[in-house]
Parts: sequence; C-alpha cells; structure tokens
Amino acid sequence: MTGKKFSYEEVKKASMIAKARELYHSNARFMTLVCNDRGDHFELIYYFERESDILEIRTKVRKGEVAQSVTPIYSCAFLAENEVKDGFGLNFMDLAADAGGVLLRTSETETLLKPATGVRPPLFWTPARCYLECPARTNVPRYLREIAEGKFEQAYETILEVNPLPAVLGRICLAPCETACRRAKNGEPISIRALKRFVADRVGLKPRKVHRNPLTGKKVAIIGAGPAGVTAAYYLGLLGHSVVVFDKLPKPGGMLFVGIPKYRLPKDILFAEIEARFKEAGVEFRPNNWIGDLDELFAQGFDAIFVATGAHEGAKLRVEGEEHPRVIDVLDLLREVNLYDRKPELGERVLVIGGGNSAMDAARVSLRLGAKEVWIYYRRTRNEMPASPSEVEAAEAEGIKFNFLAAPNRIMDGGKGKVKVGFIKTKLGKPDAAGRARPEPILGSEFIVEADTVIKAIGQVVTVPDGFKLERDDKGRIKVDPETLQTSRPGIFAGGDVVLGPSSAIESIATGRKAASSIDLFLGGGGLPEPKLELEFIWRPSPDDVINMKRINSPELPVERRVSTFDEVEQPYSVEDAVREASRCWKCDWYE
Amino acid sequence: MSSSEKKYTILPFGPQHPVLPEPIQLTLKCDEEKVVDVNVNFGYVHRGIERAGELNDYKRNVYLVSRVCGICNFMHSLCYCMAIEKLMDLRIPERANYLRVFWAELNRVESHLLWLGLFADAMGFESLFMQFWREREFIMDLQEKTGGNRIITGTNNIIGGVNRDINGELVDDVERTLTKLRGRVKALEPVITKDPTFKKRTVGKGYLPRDLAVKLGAVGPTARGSGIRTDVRMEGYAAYGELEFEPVVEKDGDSYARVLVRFYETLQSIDIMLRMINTLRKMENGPIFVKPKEWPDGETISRVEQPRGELFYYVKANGTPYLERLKIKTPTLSNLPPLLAMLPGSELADVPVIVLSIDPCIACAERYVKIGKGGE
Amino acid sequence: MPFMLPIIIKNLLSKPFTVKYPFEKREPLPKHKGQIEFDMSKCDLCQDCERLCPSVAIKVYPNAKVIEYDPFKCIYCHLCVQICMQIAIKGYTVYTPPSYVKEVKIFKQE
Repeated sequence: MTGKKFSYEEVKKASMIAKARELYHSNARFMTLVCNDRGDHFELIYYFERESDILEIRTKVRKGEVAQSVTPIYSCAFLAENEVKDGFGLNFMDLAADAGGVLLRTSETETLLKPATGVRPPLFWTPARCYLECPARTNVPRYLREIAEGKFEQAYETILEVNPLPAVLGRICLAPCETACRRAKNGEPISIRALKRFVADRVGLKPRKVHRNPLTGKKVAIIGAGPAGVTAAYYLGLLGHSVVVFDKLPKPGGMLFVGIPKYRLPKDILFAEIEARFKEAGVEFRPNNWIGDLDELFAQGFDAIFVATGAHEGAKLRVEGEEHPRVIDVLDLLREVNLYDRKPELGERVLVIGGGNSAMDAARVSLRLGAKEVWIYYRRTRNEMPASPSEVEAAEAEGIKFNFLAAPNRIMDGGKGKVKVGFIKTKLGKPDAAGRARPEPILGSEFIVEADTVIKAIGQVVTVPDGFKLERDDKGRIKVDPETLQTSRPGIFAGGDVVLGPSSAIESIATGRKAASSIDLFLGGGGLPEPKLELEFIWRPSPDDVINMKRINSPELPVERRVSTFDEVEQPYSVEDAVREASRCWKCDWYE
Repeated sequence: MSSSEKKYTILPFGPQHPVLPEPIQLTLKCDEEKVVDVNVNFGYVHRGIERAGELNDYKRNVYLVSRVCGICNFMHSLCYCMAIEKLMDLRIPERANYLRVFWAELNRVESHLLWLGLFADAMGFESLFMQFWREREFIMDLQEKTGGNRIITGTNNIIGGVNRDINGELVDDVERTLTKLRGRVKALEPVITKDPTFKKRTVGKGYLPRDLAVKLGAVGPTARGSGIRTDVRMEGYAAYGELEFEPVVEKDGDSYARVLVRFYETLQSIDIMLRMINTLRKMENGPIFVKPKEWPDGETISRVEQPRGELFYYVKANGTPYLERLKIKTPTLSNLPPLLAMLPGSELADVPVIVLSIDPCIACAERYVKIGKGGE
Repeated sequence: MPFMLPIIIKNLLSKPFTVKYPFEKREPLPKHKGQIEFDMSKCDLCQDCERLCPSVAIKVYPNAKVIEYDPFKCIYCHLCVQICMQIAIKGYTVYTPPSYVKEVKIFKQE
C-alpha cells in the first residue's frame, strides 16, 4: 500500500522534551502513545505525523523510574499518557494541565489493565484419525500431502520412518487407516494403501543412500526374517549395531513369503525390497538355519537376541477324521506353491472351510491350480466374516461360491481318492466373549458333501521350541513386558506374531520397531524417537473444493485373465490419478 | 464585607442525556448560562477489548475487533486485517480491494446519515431526524443483501481478502438502490444549506481556529471543518490509490462547517460506491482472497479513515498464533481535547449541539481513564 | 420549513414506511445469517466447529456423542456452516427468537 513512509528514532528519556519541542515547531501532529511491557523495563513508542512521513520515537523506562511527559508542549497528549499511567502504573513527570487550563490531578488507584485473565478459547489440535488407527503410527496426512504436491521421494522417506517395507504393505495391508478415514462415512475413503504402493513402485527398490550411525561393536541376533524381524534388523542396523538374521527357510520374508499367494504379492518384489533394506543397514542374512537353543547364540558372541519366529502351524478343526490325506491346511498348500514352486493336483471339486482372508486366498489359489468348482463353507453369516470386504468381492468375481451357516462335524473317506465331509447347519446364538455371535448347531440337519480336496483355513497357532526356555502364556505365545518387549530372560526380546498371536503385518512391524528401540537402550544407546505428528501450519481445504471429488479405484486385471495365471491382480495408479486421489484428503491434522 | 468570590454552578452533562448516543460525563462549570470550564470523565463502556485480544488467536480477533463499535465495524476489521497482512507480506487480489472500498464507503454513508439524524434531533428538528433515518433503511437493506446482517456484517473481512462476492443480479440491484438513494439525499440539501433555524443554531457555535486544531491534534471532519486538508484516504490503502481522492474541506471552523463537511462527504461516498460497482461489473470474476503461509511475526501499525477520523492500530506478534499486544486508538479520543477547548465561552443551551458536532462514539474510545475531581 | 415542503407533500401522499409488526412481518432477505441447526445423522464428531467458533458457543463431547450449542453466545457468523466437511450444520435465514430462559441446546447422536 502506498502512503507515508515511516521513520524510526531512538531517544533517551531525558531528551524527550527537547525532541517534542522541535517537532512542535515543525507542525507535527501528535497521534498516540503505545506502551509495551518488556519484563524489566517499559518501552514507550510515540507516534507523530509530519508532512512527509510518520515518525516513531522509542524510549525505554526502567520499572520504578519516572517517565517524562510531553504534555508541557503537546497538551493534547494528556489523555493517552493518563491511560498509560492507569494501565501500567507508570508515573509521568510534569503531567500537565488539560487544555482548559485547570490543573488536573489523576487518581491514585491501582492499575486497571491487569494481565489477561480469563479462559483462552481452545486452539487444541486433534491428530488425524488415520494416523491414530495405524498400529505403526505412519504419518499418513503428511505423505498424502507430499504426493499431492508431487514430491514422491519425500513421501517415501516419510513412510520409511516407521515402516521399511512400503512396496509389500502397499499390496497386502489390511489398511485400518482406510476404515478410519473421515471420508468413509459416505463410502469413499482415500486409497491410502494403493498410494503407498504407487510411491514405492515409483521410487524404486534399489538401496538408497542412508546415514548409518558409526559402528558400536555390539552384535544382535534376530531369529526369523518375517516382517517383525526385518524391521528390527533394519532399524538396529541403522543405529550402528551388527545384526545377523537367521531363518529356517532359504529366502527371507517369513509369512510374507510362504503365507501370501503370488497374485497378491509377487515374490521378486518382496526379495528385492528386503535385500535393499539389508544392504542399507549392513545386515547379514543366514538362511537355512534352524535355531533350537538360544544359549548357543550367546556363546557365539551375540549381545542380544530378538525372537520373531511367527505362527506357522495351522489350527485343528477338532473333528473326527481330520487326518485324512486329502484334508490339507492352507499354509501347507501355500508353502508348496510359493516355496517349492510346485503345482499340487487338487482335483476338480475343492471345499474350503473358514471365513478369513486365508480362506479367500486358499479358494483363489485353488482356482488357479486347476479346480473347476470351489466352495467356501463358513459357520456364521456373511456379516461376521473376518475377511476384508474387498477380498470377498474379488473371490466372488472369480466365480467362487459361498455356503454360510454350516460347520463340519465329521470327515470320512469317499473312496477313489475322494473325501466326504459331514456338515451340520448352525444358527447364530448369543455373543461370546469376543462379541461375535456363537454358532449353535441345529440338531438333525446334517448333510454330506463330497469333494476331491478339503482345505482348512481357520487360523494359526503359535509354536515355540522348548529349547528357548522362555515363559509362555496360556495360548502358547511368549510373555513379554509390554513396554520393553523383553522376555523372562534378560537380553532376549520377542515380537511379532509369536507375541501377539496371529495378527496383521503392520502390527508385527510396529512391534519390530519398538523392540529395536528398546534393544538399543539395553545395549547402551539412545533408542529411536517416538513417531509423532508435528504442528505445522497447514490450511484446511474448503469443503467446496474437495467434497465432490470421487474416489479413483486402482485398475485391476480383467477377470478372465486373472484366473489362469498367478500374475498380480492389482495394477498401479498413473501419476495424474495418484495426485488427484491424494488431493482428495481433508487434511484432518490442520493447524492454522 | 461581602466576599468577592464568584459563585459558579456545576452542572453534570451526562452520562445519560437524551442527546448523547453513548455515555460520557462532562462536568460543566457555569457562570449563569455561560460555560466557563469543563472536565471530562469517561470509561463507562470499557470492555477490555485490548486484553481480550491477547487471549484469542489472531484469526478470532477479526470478530472481536468488529465489535468495538457497531456502526463503523467494517473499518475496525479492515484496519486489523491490513496490519496482519503487512506482517505477513500478503498481496491482496484486486477484486478484494474493490469490495473492501465498497463496504467501507457503505459504512461511512450509514454512519453519516445516522449522525445527521441525531444532530437534527439534538436541535429539536425531529422530522428531519426521521427523514435521515429513513434513508438509512435503504443502506441497511443493502448491507443485509450483500453482507449478511444489517449492521455488523461479520465475516466480511478475513485475513487475506474478503469472504463474500457481489456478482450477477446483485450488482444491478445495488446500483439501482444507490442511484435512488442519491436523489433522495440530495433532495434534503436545501434544508441544511438554506433553513434559517438550522443555521441560527449552528453557525458560529463551537469555533475551533485552525492553529489550535493542529496543536490539539484534531482529526477527521473536526479538522476538515477548520480548513486543514487531512485525510487518511489520500494515502491510498486498499483501492483508494486509483481514485485520486480529494477530501471535502470547509474553512469556517464552527459547527455548521462540520455539518456541511459530513453532508458532502455522504454524497461523495455514494459517488465512490457507484464507481466501484461499475468497475466490479466490468472486471471478470476472480479470486477474492489469498491464503496466508505462516503465523504473523513482528510489529507494525496501520491507519484507516473512519467516519469520525483516523483509526490507528498497533499490532505486535511473535510468530505464534497468539498476539502479544494490540492497541487501538480511535478518533474520538483524539477529538476530545479540541472539544474541551471549544466549550468554554459558549451558552449552556448550545452545549448539546457542540458536543455532537465532533461525533462522539464513546464505544470506540473504550479505554478507561480515571480523571479525578479537578477544579479548585 | 418551506424547504421541506416538497418532501412533506410527498410523505402525505404515499403509504407509511413503518411495518406494523404483529400484523405484517418483515421477511429477512436471502443470505441473511440466522439460526443454525445440527444434523446429527451426518455428524462424525470431529470437533472442527468447536475449534473454529470465535465465541466458543459449541462444545462437542466425542465420547458421549453429544453436542451442546448455546444460541445466546453465538454471534451468527456462520463459520461453522462453511467449515463442516460432512455438511451437517445448516444455516437458516430466520433469526433466533427471544426466549425467557438462557438455555443451551443439546443434540444427541444415537
């Protein structure tokens, strides 16, 4: 804005009167007087308006001293100076008469402008819901913002603060963040998981230049190269320790390798990413090593051990005839396909018992292995199925059929290599301890179904070798201290599925990072910083801009092509689609 | 031996008086109908806005500051927003500047019409009072259509521009109302310039000579009525720089001159508004605000021409959302010393007219200054 | 006095300007900022309106799923209507009617 320019001057208290006299003779107009409380002294700022500019004169008056008033010369200043006197308790010398010529005495009451008391209106700030729901506390709003601005490398770094496997999790994560997204109320949450995969694919799977702390000389052994083990190895390696990872399988990945079919997670991407992280952190990987005794490792010179062996044994159906050779567990099936690259013959008709994500995987894998008819039997209804809705829809799209409210109670041999399963119809009863309705069998409603293969996919159990000599709880999981993740033996930590029971990948990664921090503290380091959302100046988008933008789903392979191959079903976003999808975010961590 | 002491009568004028729009107490020392001396005592409407401005964050303060004065609320929020924008180095889009001038002049017309009505009422000329307030209804309807409320429009100024736009049919509607209004206000001009009763009560009363006005720091129409050509709008904030603005100045220095200044300013403001509407109609639609990038930091001042004079804001911020110090100097506070110089020597019956001629808006001047009993 | 004659005659011959209140009511013009109402079926208790309200007239309790709104503290600036992303707050053009008690309106979500 144009206007008069400003000039500044600093004047000592004693020469204020002389300055005022000089201004009076040059016809300056007195504007006002501002007083600031600076702790140990007051700062008085006088404003005068001259022909060409506005003059600002500052003086300092220490508390307890008396200031010089300009009213002998500018008598109209008496109002402003009286106000300062009353407000701040600052006395003026020569505070003169008002313009009427009558001597003016100001009262001696205490100051009226006290420091501001009263309730400050709330400027609180709630962290975004997607951030709060993620077990690993990924900074979701920040990386969505960075994608919307086109800064893909920075988004990758943001994800890597808490999660070293974005390319993997961008394909398989259950995404509790998407269920918690505030846009989910109208049915269209932001595709956070698919955007994570987009960033990981775009930036690439090569090892990048990362700062690694100087070597501390301590050695840590990690048993199990699953998500928890890989995460702990990565962070401990970056903190400067020498890490060795043992695994009984020939390749790393744990459950990510043998428990997830190839059309959801191609194995070369998994291995490339884990190798990149191991290279960046200087981690040594020793495959084909089954560890039975932990004291041996201490004898070899390791200072701490992290147990992350996972849950690799299938739960039992507990019905008669379960040991029939044509009844297999889904984990065994997937291990055959993933590890040995075999294609087992399943016959034409396959039954899958169970209702979780692994049951969907089992059914879809059976289709790709040549089965013509695949049925999924679940003992509750569709609403109680623990599988994610998108998985159920994908299974249906491929032609898999469902049969609800049926539980197996017998398995018999059907001759000629077939198997017969006796089911009984159930109905939903009262909720059990976890809140889900208990299925109660309806007597007299048994029916028998014949099939070539029966796959059971009802969950896993945790098994730990007794040679570890670690204390366990009633479900077989290792007992740990919830803060430090240390087991009953000092120096041995545990995390992942073996502690939580069968759970999701992102929860194991969260425990892996927590264990890395506490192992570092145990070994004398400083630990890792807690993930937190910082208070940055972020502007909330106005509703008109973002409300009408619809969600863009990731493209997928056409259905006919899906069933015959193990190619990946979900395809990545294009750059424009990804930027548009990320700018739909409402920035729930706004703070202006 | 009779004492040669003269006895004076002390009359309190205010705080409640039918003529005054807001409470202020003037203690008049009279010698049989002639006022000899005056003392002022005000602070009846103190609300602690400066302290409340430190509790709120800088964005809520826009609403707080609008409520310092009801009639000139847009100028307060405009001045505050200009100060904060100066601290942040924001450039306001052009359309926002034109809209700000439009609403500022609308407030000025409303305030002057209200004052002319009150002034006529103070003299006892009630029918003129009703006429002026009837014209004011058109202005308040315009404010409701464009702003959202009749007097305190709120949400019109935000940091970085304005919140609402005037486009489409509303532009034609506004132009029609303004043209009609100008005709009606101009029809009242002969009453003010030629009516002998009106002139007899205002000419020669409350004389403020030119050099005394400069010495005592008079601002606004009080100064312009005494022949000083000063107006903050000449500095060119918002879109005034394009208008080549010339203030209305009268030389006489008495109450009549001030009335004329305000009346001609009303007509001038309506002309400015019509120019702004024309410019808005020719411009194509554009953005009306920009978003700030960071919290304000530093200290600065800004000035705006209120209907009564010069409004002065001092803002000090330190990089957090909360302000450290907010100081408001309103024009009534600057105009009080000239008032105290005008009153001695006048008749008692002229005191209401003289007090009203400086347009006291005590709600604006809400600092508490306790001045004890002066006098002997 | 003679200078007001044309105006006086015009006033005599035209209809009165006052609106006789209980018999005719004046309708508020469009875009007038009047009372607001919360639609609890769309609200997801995000507390944005509470953060933004200049006069602290809205209090949100996310655990109890209750919103308390004080129409006497409200300054009718309609900022909450503009910021709500689920479009759960509706602003009317009719102003809040006066009442005998200062009460707080409570909106519950089932």
